[in-house]
Amino acid sequence: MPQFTNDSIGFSSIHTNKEVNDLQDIEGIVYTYYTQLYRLAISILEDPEDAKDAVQDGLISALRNLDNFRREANLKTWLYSILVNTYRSFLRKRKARRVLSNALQVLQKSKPDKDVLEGSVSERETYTQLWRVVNALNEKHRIPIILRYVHELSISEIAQVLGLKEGTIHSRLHYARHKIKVELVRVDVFQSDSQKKVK
Amino acid sequence: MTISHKKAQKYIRSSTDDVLSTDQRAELDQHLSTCDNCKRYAHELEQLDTLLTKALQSRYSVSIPTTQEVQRVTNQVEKQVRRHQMIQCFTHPIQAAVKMGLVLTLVIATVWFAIQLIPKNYPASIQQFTPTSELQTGTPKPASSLEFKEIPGTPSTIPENAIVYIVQEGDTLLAISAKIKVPVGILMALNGLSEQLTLHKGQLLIVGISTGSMPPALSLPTPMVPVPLPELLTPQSDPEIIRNRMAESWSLWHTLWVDATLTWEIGGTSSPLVMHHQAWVRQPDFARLIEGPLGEEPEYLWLTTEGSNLLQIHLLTGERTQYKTGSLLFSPLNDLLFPSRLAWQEGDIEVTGSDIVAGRETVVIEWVTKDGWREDRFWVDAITGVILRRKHFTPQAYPSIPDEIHINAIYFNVVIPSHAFLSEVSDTVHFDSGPSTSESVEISTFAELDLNCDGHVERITGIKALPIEYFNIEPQLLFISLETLSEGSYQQVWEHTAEEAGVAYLAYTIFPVNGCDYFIGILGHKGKESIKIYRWDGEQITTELSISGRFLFADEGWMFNFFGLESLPMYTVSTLEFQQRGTKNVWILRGYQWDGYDLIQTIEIERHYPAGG
Repeated sequence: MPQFTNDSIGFSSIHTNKEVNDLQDIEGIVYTYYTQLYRLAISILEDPEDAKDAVQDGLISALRNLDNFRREANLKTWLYSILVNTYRSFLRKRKARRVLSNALQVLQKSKPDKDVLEGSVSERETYTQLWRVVNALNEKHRIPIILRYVHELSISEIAQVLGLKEGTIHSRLHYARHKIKVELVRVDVFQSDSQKKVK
Repeated sequence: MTISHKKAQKYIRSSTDDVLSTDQRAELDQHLSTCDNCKRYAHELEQLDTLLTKALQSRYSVSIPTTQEVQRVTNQVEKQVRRHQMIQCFTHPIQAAVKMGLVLTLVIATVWFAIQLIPKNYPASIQQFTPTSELQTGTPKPASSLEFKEIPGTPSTIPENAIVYIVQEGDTLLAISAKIKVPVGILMALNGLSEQLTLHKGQLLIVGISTGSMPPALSLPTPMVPVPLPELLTPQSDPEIIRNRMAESWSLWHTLWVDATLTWEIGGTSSPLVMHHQAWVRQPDFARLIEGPLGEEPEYLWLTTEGSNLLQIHLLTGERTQYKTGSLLFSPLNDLLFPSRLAWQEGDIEVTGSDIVAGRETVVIEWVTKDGWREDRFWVDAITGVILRRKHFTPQAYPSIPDEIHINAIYFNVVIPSHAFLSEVSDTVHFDSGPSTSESVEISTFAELDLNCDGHVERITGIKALPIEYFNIEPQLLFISLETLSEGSYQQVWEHTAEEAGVAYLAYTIFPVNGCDYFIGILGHKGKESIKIYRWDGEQITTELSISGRFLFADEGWMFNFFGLESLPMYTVSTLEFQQRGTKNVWILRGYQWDGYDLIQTIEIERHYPAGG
């Protein structure tokens, strides 16, 4: 199974609808891309069960809309935009269902990675705080952060995925980073001198 | 050359986002060598950047799924994609049917317009678009939603079942009140506001509380905005305006039923000849007229079908005669119902007053010929320009024109019984009281699909109107409704009627935005179009766009261009509006972008061309 890397999302095997009509191919696609789609889903949804469902829906949606792909320059961003939107509608629905999505609760639900467990106590503390802060961001700011730092998309790619201008992405990332920093300073896991000088 | 601290910080951020150019990098480095503060800022941002990368990368590392898991997903996806293909087979004929090129020249104009647009790369004039309805159910925000707290004026607590309005740039309480049809007093009470309050963009206002028993979705969409009627004619109206209204009268209605009395004085000595006419008319090609002496049963039935073929049926003998004719109604009524010909004949219009005819407001005008002869007096309908009464003053010269035609009753844009234009005549043809409202109707399903990828199927149902072929849009509906399948049965979430919208018919289109956000475009037609775009997110339906004017749909299909002009792929919705201003034809291109939250107008370009060019 090919490992997910940022530069080589090769969806080349599903370029045309004809090929997709071949159900053999759907299986191939699922085998090949499930991991990265799941990673995208869980990074946005933060809930393993929801993520599983969302991957399924995202795949269905992408395959159904393959016809619309013809004009897009970049298959990767096109696919991401469909998937991100699927996940986002999941997110909204869930928010509507739950009165309050408790970030901390969600945090405990999914186990931290072993790398982190091996790290020092202070590092673990810092990471946990950072996850909490990122999760507390609103969707508008969280998703660009997730796409940038988890999936390492470039600004222009994020702009395409979210259907926004690059300038908007810049300002949302800036705003989000500022919020994160302020919060981290507040809970004392990050030192800042220049904080007051930045708007 | 050194750069400012502010600019340096901007460059630092750009650097974090990997978009700093080599030149900018050099400028920044130079600045950093002399500015400790900025260096600190850069360092911090770098630290944060690294921390975010490490922390978030570690958080979402995922193990390889099991074979069973992949197999399960594959099965599900296969099933869904197959099912979708089946639905496509079902909806595709409908989509194909709505494909049209309204007017060929408009296609050419659109393409030309697009070509004009591309190379010049016009700067977008940014203009904040204020959607008619920004209502959202008050989804309770997490307490940690930081931005939410910072908006001034937002009530500190918002009840769970509140319906919330997000304040737009330039909004006033009065404007919001008008927009969402909630009295100002109630808005103020709900939000604890005082009169002096200024609203802030993004502020949340409680505009209502949804009651448990009624689905909130039902109360949310604003009603279809009726197509604005042309300005009422008054005795003060400029004679040229009246003439124009008569000339374009045909475009202001589609169907009508009329009852009229026609009087010939015949020399003035013997008793006049008085005839009774009743007619159904459906533009552009169909008419049915019955005529007979006033107070008696009809003698003749006239049927015009497909333009120039006229069938006369004698109702007593059943005798049938075919004629060729240039006019739709073989009756002096024709000039009254289609006054364009009269409007352009020579002569001056003199406005003499106003009157009520057939329960409708009219402007009374006299037609003065070049040599000063007052030939006719017309009572012109203040809205449609149709002539409701005519007094003719040259009886001897034109015996084909009655001395007086008086319309007793007229109904515009009525539903015509489907048998009206059939030549099989039943034994009993009578004068009657006009359109009945109890036509039997059948609700049909036009599309079934999952609009928002939530696994629940939505469907669009409606009642077909008798189509006006001229518009080549199928189906033309009197009633349209959106239903969602939940727990085995369809629940209506939203509906429109043509009658309420004040249009001849409604038509719809469905188009996807980013895969799963399907939008529903509804068009009401009546000379001009009224367009609304809705989005169903599985919980509620929201109005994203509401406009009216003359819009052009061309190219690949009905409203195709409307939802994405080829040259402007980044726009979710683009509209090309056509206006006539004096001797100029004006084309206005507008682009709207969907940012995942709102449909925002981001571009507006106006082009002027001489009319007729």
